[in-house]
Amino acid sequence: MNRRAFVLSLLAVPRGASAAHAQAAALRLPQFRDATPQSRIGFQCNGSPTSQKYLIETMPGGVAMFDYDGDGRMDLYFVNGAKLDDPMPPRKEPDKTDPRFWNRLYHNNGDGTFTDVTAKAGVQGRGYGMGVAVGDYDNDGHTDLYVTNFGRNILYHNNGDGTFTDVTDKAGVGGSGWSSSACFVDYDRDGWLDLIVTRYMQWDFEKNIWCGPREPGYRGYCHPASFKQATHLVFHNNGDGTFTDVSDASGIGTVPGYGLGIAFNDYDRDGWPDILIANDNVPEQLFHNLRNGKFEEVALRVGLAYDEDGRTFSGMGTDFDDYDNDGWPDVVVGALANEKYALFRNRKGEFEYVSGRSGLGRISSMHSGWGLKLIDYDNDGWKDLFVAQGHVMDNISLSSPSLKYLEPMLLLKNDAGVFEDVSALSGDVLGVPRASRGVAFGDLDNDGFPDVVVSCLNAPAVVLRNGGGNGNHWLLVNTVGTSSNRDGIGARIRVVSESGLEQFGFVTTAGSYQSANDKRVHFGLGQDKKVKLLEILWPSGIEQRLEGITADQILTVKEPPRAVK
Amino acid sequence: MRLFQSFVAFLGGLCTVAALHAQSATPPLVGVACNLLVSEDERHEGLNTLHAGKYAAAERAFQNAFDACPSQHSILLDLSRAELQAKTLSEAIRSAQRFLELEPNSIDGRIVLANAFFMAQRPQDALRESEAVLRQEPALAVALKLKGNVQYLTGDLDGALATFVTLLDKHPEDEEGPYMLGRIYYQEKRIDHATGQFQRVLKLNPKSYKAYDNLGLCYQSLGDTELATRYFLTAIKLVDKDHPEYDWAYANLASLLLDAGDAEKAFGFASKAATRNPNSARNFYIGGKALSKLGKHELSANWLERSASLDSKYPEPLYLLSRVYSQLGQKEKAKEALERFEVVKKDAPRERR
Repeated sequence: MNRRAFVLSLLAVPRGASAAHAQAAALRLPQFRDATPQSRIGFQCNGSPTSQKYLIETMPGGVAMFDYDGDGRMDLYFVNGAKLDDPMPPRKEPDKTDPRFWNRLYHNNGDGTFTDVTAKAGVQGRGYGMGVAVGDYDNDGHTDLYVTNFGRNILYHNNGDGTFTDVTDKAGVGGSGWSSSACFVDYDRDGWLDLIVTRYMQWDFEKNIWCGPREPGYRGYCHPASFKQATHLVFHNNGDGTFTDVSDASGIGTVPGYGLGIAFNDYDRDGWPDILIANDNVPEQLFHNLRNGKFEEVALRVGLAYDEDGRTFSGMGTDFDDYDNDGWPDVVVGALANEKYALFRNRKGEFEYVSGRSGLGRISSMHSGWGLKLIDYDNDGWKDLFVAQGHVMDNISLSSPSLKYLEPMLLLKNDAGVFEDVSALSGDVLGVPRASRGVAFGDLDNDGFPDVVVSCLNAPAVVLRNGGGNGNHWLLVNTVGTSSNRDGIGARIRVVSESGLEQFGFVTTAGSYQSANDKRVHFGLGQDKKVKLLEILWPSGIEQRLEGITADQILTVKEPPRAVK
Repeated sequence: MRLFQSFVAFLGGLCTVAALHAQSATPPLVGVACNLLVSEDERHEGLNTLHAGKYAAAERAFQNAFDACPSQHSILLDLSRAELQAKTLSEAIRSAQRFLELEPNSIDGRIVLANAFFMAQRPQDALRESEAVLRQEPALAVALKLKGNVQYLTGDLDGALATFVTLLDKHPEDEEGPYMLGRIYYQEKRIDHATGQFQRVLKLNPKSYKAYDNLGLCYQSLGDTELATRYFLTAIKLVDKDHPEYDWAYANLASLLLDAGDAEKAFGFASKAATRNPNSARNFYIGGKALSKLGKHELSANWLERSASLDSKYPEPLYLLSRVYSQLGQKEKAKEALERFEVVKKDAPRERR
């Protein structure tokens, strides 16, 4: 055996489809196209970079995909930074008065275009923005907005007439410090959405220090360990428009971290939502719901805190969903280049690190992932993985020429649990290098193929339309709670389609990075034109069963009264 | 100290470097009882036995040589070196200090002492002594290397970087300069820069197996698995017969193969690494990890226990042990391993990025 053959024989491990095979398959892969110009969305997330390398500059911002006016079409909300001085004078706050720094709300006109309705809606924001969460916290049928900031956060109540009211003070959810991702979740299943907010670290302009070599151009954004960890916030919804800060009482606020991402699901299938927090360079956290308003942090015990070598990584965006269709929600967490994106497979409540086996580790080791989600973009019945990328350091190429600040998007096709990189085969727009941050996922044009909206730092946001066209079928399930919270957030859905393929979904707007996704639960059905069985376990405990559902529709399901099963 | 221990092994011991520098003899002083003939004979015997690897015999011979002629101060340095080789580190330090009491301005003596402190895992003392030498001779290669290595091992990468840049500047033909710069850049995850330095080493010494080995690590980090494998295999070819003590390339290739999903081949290379160096906790960890992936959980637990016993401050095997014991249904052992992991992890250095 010659030397090359020997090297190759050492590396000859089972892989997915060959390149030629992939190319052939590409003929049937849906293509993403850049729909930004036609959309008339001209948003740019302005981080206001300074020579001081204030860490907040490189961290925003989020996107929300939600239907604020109830017309059945997903609208978009972008979070923006604010103007910073270089350096910031003592006690001066970031300035958001310039419209370039406003957060923006865009109304979906239903024809591929959007209209900026920010001023009318009154959601420009204040302070230096980071992320956004959406949910109908008062069960009035209109989706509300929660904006996280460096500084006080904002709760915007949706008035149902195209306008919002800042009710932060009345609701008591302003918080403080540096908030990052947030989510609405009815953790105590009382029918009202509560609010959980991750905070990144204890940082302020006055605490800023020099990090990196003291050479021109080399100053960098600091490693989080340069600053103290922060505690997360938990606000319990009192059902009267106010919330109570139960951060400490819940147990979540007693375990600090460098929180950047948040998602929830019921990892042990006990019917109660558990909270996942992706932390930067300290152990990931999983808060197990003890069903009495309290949580216990169990990530280490269940194998979710570290990678397979017991090492931390730079957890950023995250998702908590079932990629292998076994009914147990898995976890994916983005990380920085020279690490690997982490994929944890849920084996009946215990997690196994499978970044290596799934192919994700090999593909992601040179990338940095922020907003991400397991989405079945090609409707074949397997959730794929989309990751928006870009390094945290805008000067990373000086110290590491192989690494780039601007990176292309990553799209990985799920082939029964093994991921294959199909980015280059899925539309030129994915190959454009960007400093991507927050990403919202959902169906902008209600065609059954999930679209993607990416917020880019100091560059225009991008609307990625999924062209579909492969003939696969789909179902979108829009839950309306009655006993449960009106959004049905926290409902668990099981679908069995004609061929017998079984899939599981979960109603949530959380996940990705600092962003909020389309609440409707998407199922790709492959060639199946019917769903034989659809079961919903509502947060109230009510079970609902529907049969013989035709594919290719948006199915609105109202929670039945308690007596009916 | 895990890093320290493994790195001392990795360098092959800096004492040989110091030995190259210090070979001077001190003339006998008038008025001191001295049987020079006996002393020279014993010293000669000491050098021979030292060369033959009979360290205890060498120690005795040098001691006899010094007793026969105490005015021959430099014998104390030979004695210190023999004690270092015999791993009687306290004695080595004491002998070097005795020499310096007699010859306080001796650069050779201070280097031997610094080296002894280094081997005895007293980095601050080693740093102090090497800096004392550098105040007298700012460009002395052996002192720069000692200082830089101490800085590297104590986590002062900026300091180590400056020291090895000086070494490279003053001694561009010395391969240790670019080699250590490569190591530092690799630690800092500046992989491209590290790659450049290791390639520089190969220009100076085309048979530098350590450079090949490290290039393998670099290309693995850069995602080029095929090239990384080639470099590891080249390193293995170079060390296979000529450097039976060098195990790193085997372990590194095993680790790469594990990442590539081939646990069976990975275990083969990990076994070779462990055979070469049965005192390496990492070798047994990689072997145990491969066995775990092969589903051989009981064997895996044995390897991981061995790894943990070889280095009580190494968190990785403990974390995997807890998972393996869970797989075996041994909940108590799993819990215990996880508790041990938590304790060790608290003191472990944080991951760089």
